[in-house]
Amino acid sequence: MPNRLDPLGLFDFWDWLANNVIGTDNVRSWDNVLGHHRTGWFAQTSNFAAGMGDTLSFGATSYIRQGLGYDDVVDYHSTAYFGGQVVGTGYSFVLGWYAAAPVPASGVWAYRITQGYTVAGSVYGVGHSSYVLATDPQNFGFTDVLGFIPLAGYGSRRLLYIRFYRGSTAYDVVETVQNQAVSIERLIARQSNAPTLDLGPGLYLTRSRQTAKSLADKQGAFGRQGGPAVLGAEINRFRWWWLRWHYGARGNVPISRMPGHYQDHVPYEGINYFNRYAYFWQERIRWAQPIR
Amino acid sequence: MGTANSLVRVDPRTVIVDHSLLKPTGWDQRVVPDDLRQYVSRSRLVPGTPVLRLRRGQLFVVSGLPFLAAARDAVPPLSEVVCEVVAKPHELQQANLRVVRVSSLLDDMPPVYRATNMLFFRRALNAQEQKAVEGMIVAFFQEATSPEWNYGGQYRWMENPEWNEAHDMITWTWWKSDTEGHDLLRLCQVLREVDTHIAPIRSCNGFVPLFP
Repeated sequence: MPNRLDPLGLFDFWDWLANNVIGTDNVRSWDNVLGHHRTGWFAQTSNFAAGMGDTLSFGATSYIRQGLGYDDVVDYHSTAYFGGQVVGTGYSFVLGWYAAAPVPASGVWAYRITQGYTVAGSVYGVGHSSYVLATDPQNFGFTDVLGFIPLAGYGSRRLLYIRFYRGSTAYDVVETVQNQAVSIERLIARQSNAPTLDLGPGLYLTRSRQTAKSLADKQGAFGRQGGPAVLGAEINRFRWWWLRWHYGARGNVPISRMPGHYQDHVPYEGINYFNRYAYFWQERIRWAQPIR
Repeated sequence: MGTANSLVRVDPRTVIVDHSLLKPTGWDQRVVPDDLRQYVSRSRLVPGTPVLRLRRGQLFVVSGLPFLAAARDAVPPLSEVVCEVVAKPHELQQANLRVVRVSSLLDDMPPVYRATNMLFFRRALNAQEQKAVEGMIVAFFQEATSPEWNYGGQYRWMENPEWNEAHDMITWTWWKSDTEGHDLLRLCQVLREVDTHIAPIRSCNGFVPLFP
């Protein structure tokens, strides 16, 4: 009858390998290198990795270990496991932060995976942690707090940065993204002889993708610069506050010929400052389809 | 080295269409192909930037097929279209593709240009309707150039509008610069009034209009 714990007879194989091939003395030397099987550096590295993995997977890896029957190798009360949890929390926060960033020009798949992780993690983590908090608040501990971390990373970025859009043409947007700066010269050329601009000459932006799309649509159909495109720009809220206070930038002002739509405005004097601190990208958008 | 998007001048006849690679955008789907072909023939402008993929030295279209088709079928055909190509830099060199710097592309554009506009209707218009449409377009131009109601865009002068033989399409040209102002919003309002009160518009410069 085969051994239930060793159906393939591997225990004998390992014994043979250790004693007859490697040699008992060599195995003992190797054990000395790895340290004590509970407290040595190898066991602590393993605990650290387990702590980090359990944090990033919201405990799923712990359940897998339990299911496979080798969870006893992890010391949940060790300092290394706690250290792994702390580092995993940091990574989890960074992933949430990255998921709130603009879509990158390359590596979009990595960005989408991060967004998927943040969404799935937030749904599971927040749901599970909220359940524990509601039903068993006395046992709500550090691991339950972890469920909120990706969402906290996502929210922090959204709180710290303000995002604008600008409806324009493809060439204009590509140039701005390549140079990471809005060209003041081109802006002046496009705005000369236009005294009816709502807020005077300057850089016009909006916080609504829909408004930017609508404006780009018109530029695309009547312009000569390669069709419509939407520019995205992100700037730290403190920088935006400085632009408003020092340079007279204005926010959320109604667009006179587009009821229900709003615009933001940076005067010419503030554009260099805006260029220095803003990050620009070409927004990926789905253009509205006609009803035929 | 990763892939990047570069603007490249491409002969539209050399681009291969593989339907499994096509991902048309909503902007592509707003095109009325025959109207766009007529617009490109007349204006010599392509109002879109097709996206191409370089594979084994050949260019495959991903989006913007209607613009490539309009450039190819225009009379006379356009020999080059500025496209966005997704490829590694060394692949672009191997394929002998000329990368265009967008800044030089914009610098080369004359500040004031001959902007052709074409309005296609769903039916033929009678003489009275034609006159009304012409009147509204001319009124917009006068409004845009008057000192007190200047919408921006430096509209300079306008050539007389003309109708096609079937009386279902009007072409007009004005000399202007690129715009940033309320002129396009106002122009769209005028076109909506034409669509609502005179005759339904099929396309404007080859696109199905989406009025605000």
